[in-house]
Parts: sequence; C-alpha cells; structure tokens
Amino acid sequence: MKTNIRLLLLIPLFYFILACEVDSNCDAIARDFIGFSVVGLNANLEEVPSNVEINYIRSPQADNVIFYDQDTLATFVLPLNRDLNELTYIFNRANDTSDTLTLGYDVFFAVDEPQECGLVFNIRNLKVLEHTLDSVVVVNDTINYLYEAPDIKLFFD
Amino acid sequence: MKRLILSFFLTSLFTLSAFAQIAGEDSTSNAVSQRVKKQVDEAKKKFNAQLYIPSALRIGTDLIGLGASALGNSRKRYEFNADIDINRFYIVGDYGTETYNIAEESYDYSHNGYFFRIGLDADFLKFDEDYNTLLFGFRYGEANFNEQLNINQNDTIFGTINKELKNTSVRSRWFELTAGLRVRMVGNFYTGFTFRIQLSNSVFDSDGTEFTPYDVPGFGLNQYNNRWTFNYYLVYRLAWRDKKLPIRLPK
Repeated sequence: MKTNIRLLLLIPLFYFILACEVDSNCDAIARDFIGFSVVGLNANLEEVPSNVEINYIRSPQADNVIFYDQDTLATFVLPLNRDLNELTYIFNRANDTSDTLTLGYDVFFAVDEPQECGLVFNIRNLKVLEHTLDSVVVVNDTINYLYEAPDIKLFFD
Repeated sequence: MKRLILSFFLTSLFTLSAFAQIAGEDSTSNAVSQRVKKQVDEAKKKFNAQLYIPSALRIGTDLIGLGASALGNSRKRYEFNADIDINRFYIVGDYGTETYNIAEESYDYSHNGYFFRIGLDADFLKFDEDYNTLLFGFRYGEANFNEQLNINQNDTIFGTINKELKNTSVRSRWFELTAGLRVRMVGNFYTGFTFRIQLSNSVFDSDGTEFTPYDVPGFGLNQYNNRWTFNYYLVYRLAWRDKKLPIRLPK
C-alpha cells in the first residue's frame, strides 16, 4: 500500500510530458498605423469614394516627412506615434494648400509571451481633436490587429 | 371444592410471584445493558470528539519555487504552506513572495509582491497509519503586487520612444480546485504535490491606464482567466498528540 502511494508521487511527471501551454497568438498587437479613406458626397448626399492629390504628408512630431509620394490617393495608411497621445498630420496638397488633422488616442502597453510576441500595444479611444478639412469621421476608435477597413474617413474640400 | 379454590389461589400466587421475579431480573439486566450502552456511547462520543481536535500542524515549502529561484535568473518565488487537521478535513493556508524581472532588447518588465491562498481539503486516506493524505479541496487566492514596464524603442519615423510605466498596488484574486498527495518519506518529513485548477482570475485596483498587468504572483500570466499548475512540497508534520484514526468497520 505504501509503495503504491509513493508511486503516486510520480504523477507530476505526466505534467511535464503532457503540459502544453496554449501558445499566445499575440492578439494584443495593434497596428501601428491608421487607415484612411478619402470620401466625397454625391448629388444625393450619399458617400462615394473620392481621392486627393498629395505632395507629401508630414507631422510636427516626426523627425522625417512621413509620406512623400506625389500621387492621387483614395485610401492610404499613416504611422502612429506610440510615445504620444496626440498626433498631427499636415497634408500638403498638389494645389499648394495644406490641411491639418490632429488625432488623440490612448496607448495601452502590455507584455505578451516575451519569446514570441514581446512588447505589444493597443490603441483605443481614437478621436479627432481638431482639423481644417471639410469633415472627418472616425469609423474605428480602437485600432485592432486586423486591418479590414479604413479607420477614418476624410472629406477634403 | 374449597381445596380446589385454595390450590388455584396458591398456584396463581406462586406463578405470579415467579413471573414477578423473572420480570425483576429482566429489568435488572436491561438497566445493566443500558448502562453499558451509555458507556459505549459516551466513549464513542468522546472518541469522535477527539477526532475533531487538531493533532498536528504541517508546514512546508514549495520545491519548484525554490528550484526556479535557485536555478533561474528571472523569477524568485518563495512559498510556505501550512495545514491543520480537523478529523479528515484540513484547513490550508499558503503564503508566498515573488519578484520577477525580464529584460529584452526594447523593454524590461519587473514585478514584486506577495500572494496567499486559503481553503479547505478533505482527506481520502483517513485510515492511513502514517498519516499520508490524498486531498481534494478548494482555495481562494489573492495577490498584491507592484509592477513596472520600461520601454526603450527606436521608431524610424518618430525617433526614440522612452516610457516608464508603473502599476502600483495591484490586487488580483482567483479561485482554485485542488488535488494533492502527501506521503511520509522519513520521520515526520512528507513530500507531495498539489495540482491546481485556477479559475476566474480578476485584477482590481490597478491604477495603470497605459499598462496592462502582465504576470500575477502566485497565479501566472494575467492574460489567462483560467489555467492549471502544480506545486511540489516538502512538508514537516509537527504533531502534539496521537491522532485517533477512525475504526475501519468489518464488511
């Protein structure tokens, strides 16, 4: 009986054999960019896809111009600064006019499986603080891992 | 006729007195057996009452925590465990401290705090003369800790990101279903394990608005609400009286 009981002490060995922690899928990793779409209104005041001619896009908080590609843009993405809770984009348009958009957001950091994911973050409460565009609409105020649709709609003059 | 009546009367008298004597003997033997029964009941009651008087305190430490602290660099965990018997039940308490540090290229994380668990176990080896125990029970667990995350990242567009984030006075609580074994090895030393199914982890009182608690002392990764783990204990049984074992009734 005693021997049998002592054999039970070996049960935890199965733990080492069978234990398999569920791998993290790093699901807390957010995108470090925001998706934009340029939108206009038709005669019936319905939203329709539009575009804007851009020379470059810069930010006072960035060391470099963050977008430089003279092009006509309908949808595009711009980087987010994880160190700040506020970020301004200045759109320099082909007609030499500029529009400013200032966004506010909260950055939540987390450590997730150091070997696999490391430091991850999540951006929530995305909102427009000020702008000089015709209109701006925030579609997603939480920046999720998957980029399925633009987060912000821009209505240029 | 008179003689017949007299003899019937005398016979009846004799018979009644004889029956009265037998009845008297019966009441005497009943009184004795009731006295014996009472004595047995009292002894039984006394014996049963003794079963519920604690006989020993078992104190132990978690060998896995000690091993991880000695061999690893990142986690230092020291855990002490105690239980006291009440018949086949054990009131259990655990207390532990933990510090944890990881340093990666772009960040370092640390926490320090303490945790405790309290609960009840039921022993299913109640006839064991070595006081080995096979235990099933439940626990309430709670941890209180502080944690810090220092970030140092280079961003090609926005430059260097430096942040020092702190969560102070974080409290976490969870529940556990446990199964364990304690087996006498030598003298009063026992060894054994406790499997824990940890349930419903919740973090409270975190003042961190930018930093999600990562690792909870005594529980593990905060990203899981439920998980399982086990401890391997070395235990010393400090007995102050002989524990009365229940009598195994013949089948």
